[in-house]
Amino acid sequence: MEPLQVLIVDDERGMREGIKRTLRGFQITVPDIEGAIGFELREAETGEAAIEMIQALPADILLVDHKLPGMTGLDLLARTADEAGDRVAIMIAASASTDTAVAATKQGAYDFLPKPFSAADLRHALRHAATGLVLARRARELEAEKKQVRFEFIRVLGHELKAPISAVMGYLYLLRDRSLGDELPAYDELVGRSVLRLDQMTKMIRDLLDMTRMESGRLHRSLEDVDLVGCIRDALDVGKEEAGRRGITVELHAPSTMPMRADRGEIDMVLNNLISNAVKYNRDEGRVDITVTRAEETITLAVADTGVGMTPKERDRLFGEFVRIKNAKTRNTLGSGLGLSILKRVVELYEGTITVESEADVGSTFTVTLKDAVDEPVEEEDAT
Amino acid sequence: MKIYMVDDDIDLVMALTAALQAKGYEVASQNDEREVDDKIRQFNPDLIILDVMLPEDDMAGFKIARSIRHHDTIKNKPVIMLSGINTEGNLPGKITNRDIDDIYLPITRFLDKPVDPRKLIETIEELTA
Repeated sequence: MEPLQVLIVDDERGMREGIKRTLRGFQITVPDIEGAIGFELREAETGEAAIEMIQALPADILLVDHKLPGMTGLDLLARTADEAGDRVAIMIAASASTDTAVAATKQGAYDFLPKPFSAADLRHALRHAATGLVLARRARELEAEKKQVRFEFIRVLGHELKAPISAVMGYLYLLRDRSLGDELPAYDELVGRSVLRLDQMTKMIRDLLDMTRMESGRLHRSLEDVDLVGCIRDALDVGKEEAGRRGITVELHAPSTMPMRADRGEIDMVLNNLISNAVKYNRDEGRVDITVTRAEETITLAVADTGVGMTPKERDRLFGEFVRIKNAKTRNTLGSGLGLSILKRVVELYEGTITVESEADVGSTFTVTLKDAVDEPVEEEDAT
Repeated sequence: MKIYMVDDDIDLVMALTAALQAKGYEVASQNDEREVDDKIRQFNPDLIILDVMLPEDDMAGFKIARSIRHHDTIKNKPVIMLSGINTEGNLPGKITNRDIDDIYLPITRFLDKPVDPRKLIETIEELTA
């Protein structure tokens, strides 16, 4: 981190020298901020000189003697208010009256250092001021980053929602203009595609709502003892139709039951996502192998397919929001691009991990680990 | 009249292709950026329709447009860009910045998605008159 700019303003040379000696090589560390923070010291003998120096390079921290020739420390603060930014000022005063203190605070003074002060007093005041400054700056940075992420999310979301609308409207225009002639069956395919795109859009909105609920921590969890293997069998029933139609063999390698503490809805979300992806991105006549094992606390669920697979570059992008690996092999496969990013969030609720191994044109194996969910302690009503 | 279209949305391409074919245009298209320069040159279109974002690159459309301007046979052909980000009417007229000019200049006309084929055809007729 860049050293903070400190400007010492005092007409007594001895005082300036003393302060510089005390602060030479002084560094602080601030919780959550990487690296030590140092200080770059400049000095000014008068208020006028200080104003010039501040205009040339704003100070992060001002160490100002209240009694300066020509103007007071307060005047200096007032006259450099435009360049103040988020700077903090420490006022050095021989006899700080309450009035001076109040006036100085109004001008943005952060702290008072009554004369005479010790080296420790000075360092303490500086540490205090710098910590506040650095943390406030970090908070603003994080806020800006958050805004940027949010903006980016909404931008991509807008794009993803507009795409199916453009496609369906494209088809409706054909219908309006009878571009394919007056025979209704000529329009069957485009009606089918429109329904598919709107189905997909509905699913995306549903996924989005799930994700938002999860982010806000408001997803209502109801934990119960569930049989994971039973859940998998149910999920396979749901995916059976598409697998059967495309000649894909699905095999489950698991003990007859596997009890775990979980929210059934969340587990279904994980299973449906993994299984439907394994079928969706598979080749016709391919295989899906689901393996479940338990070692002490950790359940490992692996779903292997013989599908289109991914290149290492595609794999690295996989868990981002709205990432759908679009290429010639997946062009007829529609997805919301949110499934895996939701999955990742759910798995985190079970202190789990999700990893993927994949080879282009050979297949992918998604491996999820899960631990039993922990019941939240019931909050006692406050009797007072 | 030959038109080449590059857009990653297969449905949009299918719909616009059908609309253009109904009006007697010959249409070829692709859904990704693979070998796009060669394919366009081979087809030798009278007009090109591009999407901004393609699977590998969010600004692919502009890159394709720029390279079209460097092909001797097609460098003067009109390029319509279909954009999902409300550029219609804002560009390129209001752009003055040189760098941005460099990006947008290869585009003859912007149309926002969703695009009504009537408007698209009107624009094509105007640009190829």
